[in-house]
Amino acid sequence: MADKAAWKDRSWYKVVKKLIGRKTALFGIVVFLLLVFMALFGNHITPYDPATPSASEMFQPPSATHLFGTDSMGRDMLSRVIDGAKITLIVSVIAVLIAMVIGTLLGLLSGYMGGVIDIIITRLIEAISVFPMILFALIITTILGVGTQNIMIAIGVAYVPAFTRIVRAMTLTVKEREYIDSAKVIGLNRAEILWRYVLPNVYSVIIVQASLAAAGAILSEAALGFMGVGVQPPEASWGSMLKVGYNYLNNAPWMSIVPGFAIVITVLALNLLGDGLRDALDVRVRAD
Amino acid sequence: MISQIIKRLLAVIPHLLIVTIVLFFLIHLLPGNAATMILGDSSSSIDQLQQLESQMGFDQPVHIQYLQWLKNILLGDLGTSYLTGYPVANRIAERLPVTLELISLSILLAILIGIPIGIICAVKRNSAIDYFFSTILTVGIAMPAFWAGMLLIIVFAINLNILPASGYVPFSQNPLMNLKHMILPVVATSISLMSTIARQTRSAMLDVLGQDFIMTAHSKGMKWRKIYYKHALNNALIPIITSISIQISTMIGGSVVVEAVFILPGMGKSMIDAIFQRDYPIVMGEALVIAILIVVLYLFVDIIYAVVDPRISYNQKK
Amino acid sequence: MRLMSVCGLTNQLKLVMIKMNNILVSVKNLTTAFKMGGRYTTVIDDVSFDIYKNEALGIVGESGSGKSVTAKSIMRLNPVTVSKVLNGKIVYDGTQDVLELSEKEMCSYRGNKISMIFQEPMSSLNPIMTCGNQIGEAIMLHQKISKKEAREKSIDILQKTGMPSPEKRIDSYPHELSGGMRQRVMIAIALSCGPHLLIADEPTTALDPTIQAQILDLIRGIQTKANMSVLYITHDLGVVAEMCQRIIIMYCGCIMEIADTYDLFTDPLHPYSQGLLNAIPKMNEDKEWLHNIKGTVPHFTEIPQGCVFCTRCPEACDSCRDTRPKLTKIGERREVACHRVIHRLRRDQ
Repeated sequence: MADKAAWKDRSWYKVVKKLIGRKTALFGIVVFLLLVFMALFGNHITPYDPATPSASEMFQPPSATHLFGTDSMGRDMLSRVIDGAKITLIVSVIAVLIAMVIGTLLGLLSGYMGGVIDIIITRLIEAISVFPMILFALIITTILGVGTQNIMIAIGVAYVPAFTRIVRAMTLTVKEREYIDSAKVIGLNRAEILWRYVLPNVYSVIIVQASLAAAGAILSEAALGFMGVGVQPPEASWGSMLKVGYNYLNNAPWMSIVPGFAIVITVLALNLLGDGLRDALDVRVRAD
Repeated sequence: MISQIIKRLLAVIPHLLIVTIVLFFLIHLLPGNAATMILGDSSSSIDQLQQLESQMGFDQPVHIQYLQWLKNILLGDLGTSYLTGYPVANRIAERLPVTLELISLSILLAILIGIPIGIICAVKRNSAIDYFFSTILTVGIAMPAFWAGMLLIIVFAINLNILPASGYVPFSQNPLMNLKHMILPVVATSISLMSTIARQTRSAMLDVLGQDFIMTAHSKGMKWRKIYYKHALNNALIPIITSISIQISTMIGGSVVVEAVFILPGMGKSMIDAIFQRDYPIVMGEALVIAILIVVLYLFVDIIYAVVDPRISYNQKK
Repeated sequence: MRLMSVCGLTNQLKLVMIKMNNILVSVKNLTTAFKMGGRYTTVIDDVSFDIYKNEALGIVGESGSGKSVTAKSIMRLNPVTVSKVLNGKIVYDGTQDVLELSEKEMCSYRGNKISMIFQEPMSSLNPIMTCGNQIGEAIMLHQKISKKEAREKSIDILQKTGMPSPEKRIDSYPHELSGGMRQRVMIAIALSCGPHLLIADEPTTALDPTIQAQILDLIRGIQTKANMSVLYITHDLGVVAEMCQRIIIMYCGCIMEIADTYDLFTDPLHPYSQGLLNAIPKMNEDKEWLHNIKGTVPHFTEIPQGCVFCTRCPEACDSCRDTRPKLTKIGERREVACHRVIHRLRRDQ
């Protein structure tokens, strides 16, 4: 009995409850889960095979048999969109993970150590963030070459400043709190303090940022894919589908409308999720 | 006032320097260099390559190369295109006006439409109009600019056939045609900034309207309309300007891809083409110019801050 | 005892000079509700009182007593989206029911015939506008004069509020001035068009004690010189004792007692008034414990159906809990809302 009551008191339970309470955030969660579902089980739910071309069914507008029409090679658009969710999701998740890990590390170091390290890291981050993310990712792809793997790295690196800034600000706030002094007095070294005291306070900020960064990553992937720099055929992401669709705006507009629509809904959902998380976790970075 | 502007200008220089260092570092990581490009891959011997490299200065230590590059830039020499052999600076001079027109019109449109919508939403808070616009705005932020462009082409160029789908006519040549070609790209580029501005305006206005001095203005006998525009908006501008400066970088990124969609001969499209053609000097030169443009915009925003909010200059005087 | 001597003589004299039929504002049966938690809840109930010309009237009460809402109702400053006037009239100068005016017509009253000054001068002034412009704006809203003339008038009024070197201060921003100076600017704004009624909502609560005294002196001086009434809203009995000729005591949205200052302090009739006055520590008394009124102010959802004070009143009886006592005139210049008091006094007659 006592255990059950204690479980409901846990802070994460309260957070989840608050999150679900807001309808917009709920929409975000539902769509996100739908996306994950499509990514994992897409192969089983596609009405047609997304990769098999069919000369007889090219350029068909949306109809009862093909809900979203077919593309230039006769492939069903609905199936392609579901299939594309997989790559889009993987790219965005890994990019965000990269940005999160590197950004958090830099932010913690910069905020906690202060001094020269702080100055160097901050100046570097400022310099990088002057570039629009798409451009920066483009330049990195130029260096590394095109391909799925490389745009994950490129987008990831482009989003590092977003994480670094926010983690640094939060670290600075936490650093001023008294329990850090008591931790030092007990004899914990810097790494331990960072890991056990600073990080737990910072993770709520990170989660919110991760959600918003995921949204941005999908937009970046779309732009890079559209420019042909990202996922290469035969793999297809929503971005690269737009690249193909661009050539047929005249006769098959649904080829562009559908993947774009998927992108918008997903980004929207992630934004709403991020906003909801921000409210639920009551995240406020106090700037000094 | 002037001294503050000068101070800010001076602060920008070290920032730009670091930007150039980062860019140069990235250039250095590029596979191959001018020499490899000129000679091609297989047809030349190592000796020829080395000779050309030392001729072009590629055997110098990195920091010397950087300083040389920096010196060149300050003298206006941004390098030479691998492809055409013409100076990068020329290409930039051709392309920059187009990009500038796109960006400035987009910012203008975003402000002209975004702020009034935000005010309406704040004033008619929680009404049907508020919900309607807020929904549209939330979607607007989620939309990729280039996709918006594609949709606009589908609707206006293909189906309604009233606006051109691509191409560009310089303003000096034919103002009307210039605008006709620019409407769709400008709308597409401005959507994300417009939505951000509108949302921020709404939220800033609501904050300001809840403050005490609004009550004072009301108690003086001021009509609400005047209160909104004279007292509320002026104070709300400060957070609005902040949000603009955050979003500008993203918008410029979006404009690059929009140029590709509408085939506008701007810097963005030029850069994309150059990347595919492996014409790295152009890529780097244009990246640098865009970076400078953004830094200048930030500076501009900073100055506007000081003008709008007298507390800022006061705090610095102290 | 100092309270008694200061207010006693001067106020008695003033009372004689105030003629009974010289009513500036007459509030009748005002009932206002605010939207709280999605539903409208009554915040002030059946409030009636008069403000005479040239008088200083005080409304005293704890937070939540409705005194601020009442004051703002006179100028219709309560936010329209969350408040509603359910009943009542506010008659200005015997002719116009202010509640019937359109918003546009009301604007010609505000700042012009009736003005208000607020508690927090820092947040009540627009931070990005110069003080001069804020005063000038108030003038130009109601008078057709040029900007230059308005500026001169502003300097003039600022001078009258005792601001040192007003020609320099007029171009300052609020954050460049001290608290006392800001309040002077607020007073200048309020007085710029020569209103007949000045409503002062806790004007000195946010100021240092020395500045408090200065501002109060200023307001009193202006009131005696100009043809103006002042309505003080405060929780501080000391302030009303010094500044007001008559006092209204409010609790939980209802008026408990209206009396002349001297009468109220020497002979409070309502149990709540008695409680308030007993709670003031007096220098020459030999008490060990400070008196306080037992209980706490009820939550707005739990306001009693009968007399709002019955949950804390030492003399409460069943009829007190049943029916809300109406504010009844007792003698020439007293009104009380208490069954026991009215019953006792009627019985004595």
